[in-house]
Order: sequence, then C-alpha cells, then structure tokens
Amino acid sequence: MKRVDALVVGSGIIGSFVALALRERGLEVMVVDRGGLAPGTSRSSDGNLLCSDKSPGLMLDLSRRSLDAWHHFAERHGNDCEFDPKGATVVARSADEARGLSALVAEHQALGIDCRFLESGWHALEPHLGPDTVAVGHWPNDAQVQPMLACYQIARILRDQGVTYRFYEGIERLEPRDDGVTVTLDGGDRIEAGHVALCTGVWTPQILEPLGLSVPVRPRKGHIAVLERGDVMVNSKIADFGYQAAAESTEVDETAVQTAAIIEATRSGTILCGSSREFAGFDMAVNMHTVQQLLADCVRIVPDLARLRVIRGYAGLRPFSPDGHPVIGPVPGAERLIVATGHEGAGHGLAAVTGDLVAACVADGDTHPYEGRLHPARFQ
Amino acid sequence: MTGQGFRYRGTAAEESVRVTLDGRAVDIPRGVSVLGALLLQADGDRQPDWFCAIGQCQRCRVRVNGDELIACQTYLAPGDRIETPESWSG
Repeated sequence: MKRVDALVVGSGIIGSFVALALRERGLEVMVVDRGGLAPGTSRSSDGNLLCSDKSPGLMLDLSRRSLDAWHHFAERHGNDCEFDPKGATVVARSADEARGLSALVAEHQALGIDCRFLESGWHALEPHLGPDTVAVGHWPNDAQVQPMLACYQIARILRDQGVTYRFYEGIERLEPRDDGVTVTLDGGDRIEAGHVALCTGVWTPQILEPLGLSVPVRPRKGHIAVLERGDVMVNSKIADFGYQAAAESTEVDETAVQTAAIIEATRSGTILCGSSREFAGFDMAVNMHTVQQLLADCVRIVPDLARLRVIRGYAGLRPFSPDGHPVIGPVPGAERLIVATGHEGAGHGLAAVTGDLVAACVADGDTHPYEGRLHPARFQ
Repeated sequence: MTGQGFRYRGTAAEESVRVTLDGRAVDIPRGVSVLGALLLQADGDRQPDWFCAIGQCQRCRVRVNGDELIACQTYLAPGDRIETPESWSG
C-alpha cells in the first residue's frame, strides 16, 4: 500500500495551495482529483484577490495576510499566472453611498491599508466610469490572478518536487483512525495517509456523508459574462459600492438572485463582468436572464461596455458557509481529516493563507487559529 | 449604508412570519432575508449597518437563534430570534 504524509483531495486553487504549503513543510504529498486539474469552482471563477470589498474583521484580516502570501508566492516561484496587483476602484453613485464609501476608506486607512477616497479626478484612474459616478474609493494593492494558470503553475512546481497528482480518480472510501486515514480510490488503489486534506469546495458534504459527518457548506451559484476585446479600457477591478441596484430591485423581496457589478479586464483584453449569487443546488447551467441582469448592473457603472459584444457566459458554484467565514480545520469525529472549504467568492484571495493554515494544522497541531472562528466544530 | 426607507416589493406579502427582533415580536413577509427584515423595521434611530447585500462586506452580522450569521444571506423561519449587535451582551 502506498504511504504518504498527506493526501490532498481536490486540485483547485485551495488544494493547490494546501499541497504547496504541506510540501514546503517537508511532507510527502499526493494530490487526487476526480476530474482533471481544477475541474470545479476554480475553473469558473474570475480570480479576485480583494480587500476593498470587506469590512474590518476576520475576513479582511485573512485577505490581507493572503494577499501578502500571494506576493511572496510570485517572488519565490515567479509569476506564470497573470498575478497582477492592478488595484480596485469602488464606485459610489449617490450621496448616501459616497458617505458609506468614505467611512469604509477611513476604516481601512486606520488599519494601515493603502486606499483613498476621491470626490473628483477619478477619470485618471478609470476613464470610462459613467456620468452618475459621485465618488470612488481606490485600493491600489488589490489584485487579480488567472485561476487556472495559478493551479497549473503550482502543479508544475510540485511535480518538479516529486509530488504525485492522480487525475480522474475519485474517493471510494475514507477510513479515518486516530493516527491516519486509509483512502480507497474508485479504481481500487489504497493509500495510507497521515492526514487527508479535503479541498473539495461545495462537494465536501458529499465526501463526508458516508462517514456520517458533515460541514454546513452549500453551493451558491454565480455567473460571469465575457465581453470581446475592444476599445473600452478597464485598468483596475471596478466594483459597485452600494450595490444600489440590489437595494432597488431585489433586496427587500423574495427574489433569489442577487447581482452586483464587478468588472475587470484580462491579460488577453477580454472583459469579465460579474456577478450573481443564488442558491440553486448544483445546477451550473447559464441563465441568460441572470446574465442580462448582471450586464445591466455593469453597464450602469461603465456605460461604454454596452458597445462591446458578449462572447460567452459561464456559471460556477461558490462554497457558502452560513456565518460567512471559511471552514478550515479537523472534522469533529475524524481529527485526521482536515477540511478547507466555505470560502464563498473569496477562494482565490484566501487560497494562500488557507494553505498556511492547513499546513500549521497538520504539521504543528494548530487547529484553532483565530480563536477557533474557522474551526468546523463551531457549527455544532 | 443608511438612506431612504425600504418597502417590500415582493409578491407574497400576504404571507408573513412572526419573529423576534431584539426581544420584540414583529411580522415579516415570508421569504425576506434577515437584512430585509431589519431594513423594513428600520427607523431614524435604528438602521442596520450594511453596504453590499451579497455577503461580501459582512457588515450586517447578526445572531439568529444564538448563531452568528450574515443577515443578507439568511432567510427567516417562523419563531426565529434575531439579535442585532447593539443588543449583544457578550
């Protein structure tokens, strides 16, 4: 039987950084995925690494730490994943929103985060913002990454270090004990692992279910529309601050789909427009009505986008946790099974810090970072 | 974010659920998020703290039946007990 110190299940951005961090601790690591590389949520993401969309608190702390770790990654391993600290520009379109945005900028500044509030002159940053822009907040250090390229880059690094990736092999059975986990793959191979890290996003409950265990993570569907390359320059991540559109149309009623504008150019010149949020089970079909709704939001803040054609739309499933914080740590009842999920729409932003936290859990027994606020047992 | 008063625009207004908001019984249209309920119940002195309404900013954290949750991402069930941060004792 093959023995490894740690078996990582899932090769998306979370599994990639977890495997990298475990390998950096000197552990022998194997990565297993039931699909090809990063076949799930990472494949249908936009790669946001943002502090600007978060209020002071745990998520902002994690995001700052993770953004530093992303910089460290690019310095150490090179940048083959279009990691780009291009900044984020948050747009207020009413006096109310401008007040709220100004307060948020002040809160971030008090924490030492580089950002500023502009009541004029934003066209130097983003020339295509629409005429109803009242003010903007600018976070110069927020970043973007191409998620698939990041997973490929990490896979190359790890394979050069002798880490085995096994693709198109699912988990048939997990047998956790006090000192390890016996894993049976669906091809029949058995692997003895000191720890198993489940980096399986929205599919984590399905893997735990046969053991009578669970984590309360649910799929929260999102859409992205891709616009053709054209003459509309989008320099940074542009986001709507107040999601006034949500407040005007969907907030105070039973409508399930929430949309909020976020716009960014890719290295190849196409423009990604997001985003939507809804609980729709595991359905990943693209709903054109939702795509139109999110495009309408985006055109409200950057009207010139209306002259570009839509190339395609895609949907993915964010792992939503009920209290909005990721779920990272040993599964109660199976302490050698470590979960890392529940990042919702911040998985790329938080991937680097998640790798560190899982590695500290496996290698140092540090299972309760941040006063246990990430620990799976908090839901029991 | 504060601002204009919010009103219910859904289609199931005739159906409501009774919940407790900081110890006070209130009736909320069925299907409304906790943030929706807080906005419908807001007055000049008491406004929920929020801005994104999509679960990102996490400014609208409340407790529902003792568990800390994001108000804009949580839907109410009859009998739910909502506590806003101003009412938390610890």
